[in-house]
Amino acid sequence: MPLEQDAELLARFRAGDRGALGAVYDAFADPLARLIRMGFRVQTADGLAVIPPLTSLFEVESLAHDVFLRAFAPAARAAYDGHRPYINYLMRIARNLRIDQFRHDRNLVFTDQPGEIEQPAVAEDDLIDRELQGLVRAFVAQLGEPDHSYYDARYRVGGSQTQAAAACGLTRIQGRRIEARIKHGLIEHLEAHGHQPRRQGEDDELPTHLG
Amino acid sequence: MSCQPTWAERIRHAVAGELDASAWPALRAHLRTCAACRAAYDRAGDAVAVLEGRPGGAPEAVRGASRAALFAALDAQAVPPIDVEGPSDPLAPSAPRARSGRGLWAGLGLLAVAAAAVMLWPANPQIDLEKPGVGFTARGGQLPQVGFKLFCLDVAGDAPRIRSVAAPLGPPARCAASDRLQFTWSSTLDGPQPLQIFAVGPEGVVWFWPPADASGLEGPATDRPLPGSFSAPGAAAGHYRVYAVAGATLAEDEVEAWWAAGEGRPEALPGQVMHAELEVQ
Repeated sequence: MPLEQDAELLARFRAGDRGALGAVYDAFADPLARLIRMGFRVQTADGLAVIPPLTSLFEVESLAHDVFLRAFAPAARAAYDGHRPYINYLMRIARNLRIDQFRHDRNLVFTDQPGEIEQPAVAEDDLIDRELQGLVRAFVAQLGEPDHSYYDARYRVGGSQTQAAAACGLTRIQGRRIEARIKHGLIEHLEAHGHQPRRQGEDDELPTHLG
Repeated sequence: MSCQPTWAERIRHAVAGELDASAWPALRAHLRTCAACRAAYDRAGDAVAVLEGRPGGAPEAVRGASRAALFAALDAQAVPPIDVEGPSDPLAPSAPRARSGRGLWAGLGLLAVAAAAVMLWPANPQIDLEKPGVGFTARGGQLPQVGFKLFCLDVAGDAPRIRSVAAPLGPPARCAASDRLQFTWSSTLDGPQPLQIFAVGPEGVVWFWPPADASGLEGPATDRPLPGSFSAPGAAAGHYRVYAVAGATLAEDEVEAWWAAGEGRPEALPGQVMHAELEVQ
């Protein structure tokens, strides 16, 4: 992760440089989202509490928003020591926010199960929605041309829109249209197959929102 | 209860990267109160994230919108708007290139008003290229070679004035949506030199300079006005980053491709790069 390894970036980050904040956000947004999805168990004065996983993309993004908002405040930037993994720093803020939310609503669930303090509530592997992955694979497999070639160049090879389009002998605009068509097609494919997220998350408490 | 078709359509466009930046706040507000639409958003977003090879994360489009919302919120917590009373160089506007469907350019009438307004101002405080962070340094070089400033011009009254100004690494310029944007540039280099200025918002590149028929810039220059006057990006409230690229020639398509690649980092651009921040309120 860049912040622990790049002294110049750390200095700019602490100074509040927008470019540095953006680089840190880009590096940590997805890892933080994945950790938030895992939930955690934490030792409190009242016992070992279970904070359940957040399974809703919207709620994960909303919580991550609040985490970064606090982490990027001047005092929090100055408080980060630059040595310990920054993702842990972010996750500590996320935990505190979640615990506060649950305490506020008296929803903390305690467990007698022994466990490591602040360990994830679920294994990372359990986050993988295998049904969803199967549906996406099936959808990709039935793509015609040039959509399938574009998909390969864009997401399997990892090219930009321009690179993926060029690999297929297309213009960038054509590539962009294909990409939108693929994504719309995927959503229709899911609807046709009645896929539902494994956990709706509708009972989860909504954190403070994105602006 | 199901998600209403109009919202469902917006959700599809949002996760596919086709939702206008100005529509995101309303969508988020709706998702906070509608469990059915939130489930639809989660379902579509998770699927597109898997498609993009980032399971458990967010689709590129959602990530970009979240990033923009974060910086807008940070700016809202930051210092109050800059009230720049200082004068500016006159800027000579020329007809900008129209970009279809985005409404990025105001009418020539407003252009003339903005031009007349800035013509009233006398000399401008010069850009100090030696000041750290003001100019930018060629890769491998030692001294900053080029700098630029962004001006927000309030043209609503009888006597237009500079509402705000921004330079690279400084606080953001804060514009009203009805403001005009104009630029000055400085360079220590001699002769013709390429320069591109463009702004990106949550949905990508929202405008680009120069127009196709623009002639090249000749240096050296100090606080020289760039031809053109621009409406605030998309007339949509939000945070924008204004990049300048010198020492390399970039077409608008290449800039859009850079953004579409999901990088959005100055390091991924050629030449000499710097940026200033713009908040449209």
